[in-house]
Amino acid sequence: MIFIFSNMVSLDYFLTLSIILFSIGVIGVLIRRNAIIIFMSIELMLNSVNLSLISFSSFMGDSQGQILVFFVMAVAAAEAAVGLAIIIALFRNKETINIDEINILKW
Amino acid sequence: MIKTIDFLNSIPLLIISVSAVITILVGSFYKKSTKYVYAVTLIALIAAIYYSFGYLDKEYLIYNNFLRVNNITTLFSIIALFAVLLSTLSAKAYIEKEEINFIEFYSLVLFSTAGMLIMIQSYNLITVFVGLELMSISFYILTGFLRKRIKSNESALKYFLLGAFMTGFLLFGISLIYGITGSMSYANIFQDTSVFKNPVFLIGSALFMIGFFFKMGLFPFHLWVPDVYEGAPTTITGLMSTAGKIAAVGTITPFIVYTASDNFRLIFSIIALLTMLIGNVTALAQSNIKRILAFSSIASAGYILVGVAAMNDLSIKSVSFYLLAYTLMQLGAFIIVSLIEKPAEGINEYRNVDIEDYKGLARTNPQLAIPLTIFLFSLGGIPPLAGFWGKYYLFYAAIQSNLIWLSISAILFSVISLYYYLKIVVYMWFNPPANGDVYKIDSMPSLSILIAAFLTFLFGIFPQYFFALFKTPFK
Amino acid sequence: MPDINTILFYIFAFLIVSFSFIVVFAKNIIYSAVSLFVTLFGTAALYILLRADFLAITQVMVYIGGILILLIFGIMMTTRITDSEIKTTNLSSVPAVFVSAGVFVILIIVLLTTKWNINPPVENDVTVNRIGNLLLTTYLLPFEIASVVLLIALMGAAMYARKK
Repeated sequence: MIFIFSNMVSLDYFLTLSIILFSIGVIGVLIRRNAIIIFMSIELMLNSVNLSLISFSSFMGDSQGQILVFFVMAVAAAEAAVGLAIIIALFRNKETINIDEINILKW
Repeated sequence: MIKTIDFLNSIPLLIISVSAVITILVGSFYKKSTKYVYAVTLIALIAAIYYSFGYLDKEYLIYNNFLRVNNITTLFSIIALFAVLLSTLSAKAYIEKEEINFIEFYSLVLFSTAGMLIMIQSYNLITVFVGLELMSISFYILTGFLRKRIKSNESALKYFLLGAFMTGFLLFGISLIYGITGSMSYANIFQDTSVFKNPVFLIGSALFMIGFFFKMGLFPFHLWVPDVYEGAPTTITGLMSTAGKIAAVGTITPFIVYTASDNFRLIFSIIALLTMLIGNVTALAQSNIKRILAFSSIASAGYILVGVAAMNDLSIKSVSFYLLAYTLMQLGAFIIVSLIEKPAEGINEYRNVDIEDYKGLARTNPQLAIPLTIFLFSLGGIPPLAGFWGKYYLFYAAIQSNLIWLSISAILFSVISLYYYLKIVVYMWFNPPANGDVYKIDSMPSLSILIAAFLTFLFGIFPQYFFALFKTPFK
Repeated sequence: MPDINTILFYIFAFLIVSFSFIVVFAKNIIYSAVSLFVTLFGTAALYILLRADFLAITQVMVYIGGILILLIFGIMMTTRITDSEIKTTNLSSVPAVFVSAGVFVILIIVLLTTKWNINPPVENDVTVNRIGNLLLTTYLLPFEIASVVLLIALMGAAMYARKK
């Protein structure tokens, strides 16, 4: 059987980990200037959300959370494809993806 | 399981999605069929609006309670569909001018419309999320549609990164709401009203709303608006600033009114105040017409939030009227800007979008200057135009909820906004022409301008027609 | 003596947090991508601890097999490998740390003081069948919408790539 472990770690542990991961992602988005690294930080945030959804779902014995995670993954894949297409289109025209060199990308 | 009756109860959504798929199929086999695809898109939108009117007095839960059709969702759907119709009608001339007349354009517009309808009608947080993403991803692609122009690429990248960032917050909010209520269906979430006071639910719904406030362009999430609106192809700017905003408002307003808690009223009022301040004051210093309209759109989001913050019976009524008026005037203005804009020879900037270029427009192109003056007066809230009544109803709703200070400051900001709207009008009418260019106007854009100008007058003089048309939501 | 679950949780949590720091703060973008790989893999392991076997496999297939590879392609195409342009700069900004610390503190305080209603999880429950059934019956509508989202992503990426 796959699951040999009987008792689970408490929900609070998973939520704490999820929040730590989320905050690291937020820092990454706000301080990094490279579009691809910002995108990776966003993936970290989505991962933390997935972790919290799955923990809620497992601890409540309810499937909805896991289903939403499935959709989040599908949408994240679509976003990755579109985002990288945009990044490459910009790179073709401008030869940079560093935000300091992109005029309007200062926020 | 999905039942056959569900299809009959969601005909507009079906029309839009099926025709979107048809446009892709036709486009992949016949490269030269953009004319027919354009016609299919318009027919689909008109048919969807026509069938939507049939649902105004109905009440259904369809597709296993994932979507809800009732008078309020239908009302917002009709306004959103109308905005898409008006902007698509005028889009063809623009995308031909910029040489981006691809079939993907129409498919993406239709898919984003499907996303809007799904968002507005959703009765489950899962459908809110996937509908929002359907709309947003279409918009990211459309923003960068001028893919050889750096400005368009840059704004697409900015919109994409910030949009994905905000999706993270939205999802964390959904996760918290799910954790505390144990469900994602509105039916279960709204069942137990005691949970609305729970701090986890409050934080969860705050994060959830942040995602929509971002789409609406409210303070502190407005920073993307001017840059993205300036960099996107002008017809897409018109589409995003009206239909996209309507979808976000239509999704979030029922949610807020359901879970109305006084904890949020003060926060909303402050956000509305700051949004109006930032939008109107920053617009004073702008000289690019697309940026002026972008800041005016931020200010409009602030006015809308005034009505939402009222959270009373008048909220949905006033917000929906303002949204329609806003669609007419803002979209009309963007259509005219898109006609005056010239295709760029290089690859960088948009040409002829500075207000200096509008000098003397009344003398060279009165057929553009007159409707633009009407739209700008309406945006400024001058009676008897639709924009005046829109603001009147919003501020009246706020007064009903004892938010008198908010209404007074909103009126003050509205007066300030007259300065930059009138500046454009003065440039057009009382200055010598900057150049003698006479702009070519195709029949379709002029039709959409005519419709917008006519309705601005009609709903300005007889605002009760709107409430007669959508009788049932306001009983 | 802590049980094996807790030990495993701590190991993976440590891996995830430390490598996600590298993702965010590494000067070399390739290091970030490789660290993201470890983070995603560690999260997949935690999904198994949480008895979400289907999603753990999906995580490995979609995130690691798809998104991460796509990201590395993006890095390779947008940076000239030959010169040392691959390094990226940081913007040291106090407000950023402030915002994210604020988010962290508020969420931690609220979440850890809340009483969640927890049902005892089902022992040795395999989720693949259940999720498969649900996706094609109850959740058919969102499933279709998600497939449309993938379709437009495909269309959009192809549109950006075309020459004309």
